[in-house]
Amino acid sequence: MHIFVNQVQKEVSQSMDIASLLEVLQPKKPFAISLNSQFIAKTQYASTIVQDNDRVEIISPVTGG
Amino acid sequence: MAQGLDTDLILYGEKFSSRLLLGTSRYPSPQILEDAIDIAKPCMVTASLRRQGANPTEISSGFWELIKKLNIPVLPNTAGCHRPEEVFQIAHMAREVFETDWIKLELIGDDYTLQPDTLNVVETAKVLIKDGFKVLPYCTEDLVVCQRLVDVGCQAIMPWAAPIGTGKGPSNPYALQILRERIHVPMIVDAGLGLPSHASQVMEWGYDAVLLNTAVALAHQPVAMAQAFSYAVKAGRQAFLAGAMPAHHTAQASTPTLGTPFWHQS
Repeated sequence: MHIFVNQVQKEVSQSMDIASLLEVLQPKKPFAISLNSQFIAKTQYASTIVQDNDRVEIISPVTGG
Repeated sequence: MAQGLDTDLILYGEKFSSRLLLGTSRYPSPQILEDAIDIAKPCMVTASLRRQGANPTEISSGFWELIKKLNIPVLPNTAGCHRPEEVFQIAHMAREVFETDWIKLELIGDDYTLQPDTLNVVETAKVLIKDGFKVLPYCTEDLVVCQRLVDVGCQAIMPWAAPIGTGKGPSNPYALQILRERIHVPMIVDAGLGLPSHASQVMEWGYDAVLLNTAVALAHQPVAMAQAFSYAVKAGRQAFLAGAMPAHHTAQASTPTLGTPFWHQS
């Protein structure tokens, strides 16, 4: 199935949870995750399943004013 | 600073020895940012969140490591959010990433001026406070909006001096002074300051702190300017506490006139 990670289309296996997806993507720490514009807490990674066409955002600290 | 004259800045029950908050964007290099923070000794530095990989060559590549090294409180912002729902998501993400309940609430209502959305910022703040955040809301100098922010539980308010990044200084001195008189929680002037004299001015009016970014980052010598702002904030604060003389419309000689030689009556 296709999902979008930070707006880039990715091919992933069916029924993948966020924890498994992050093992594949290996984002730089620290980061936080949203799925379809909803924040997903770390404690929910293993229980949140990614569906076809889902939009995953991985965000990290940057400078700010 | 005269001994015993000043007190700590207290925000949500936490004490801070500095009355300067410093933004971390737009500096020429990470080293200059670090040096500016080191010399200005702000009580907090602001930070934000963006997609990984969005700006791979940007200063932020080593930002997290720098923040950890400096060991200074971080105030995450919700910059770029135009809807309350976006603010809520970013705030929760920031709390997880930065491990802090502090949040600088930015809800933008107009892209041209980056003016806060004053029609929705109060309800947005209310939800965040209910969720346990220590909210520092970026707002205009509108008295009623600021009062409503206090009413929903904001223990500090951050009115702008002028639009973000303009460096114009207080564009509505009358409203800012009235606001200071009417609002009785700590207030931090955020955005629009360009010169140390601007910072001194608002501190002389009784504002509790200032938040700066561009005025330091885009100075020809950011580190020197950071120090200048640090001095200016302290000078303005001391002047406020000392109490300024009343202004007069007519001249009043400071040198005694009694015994003046060659006295003439005009």
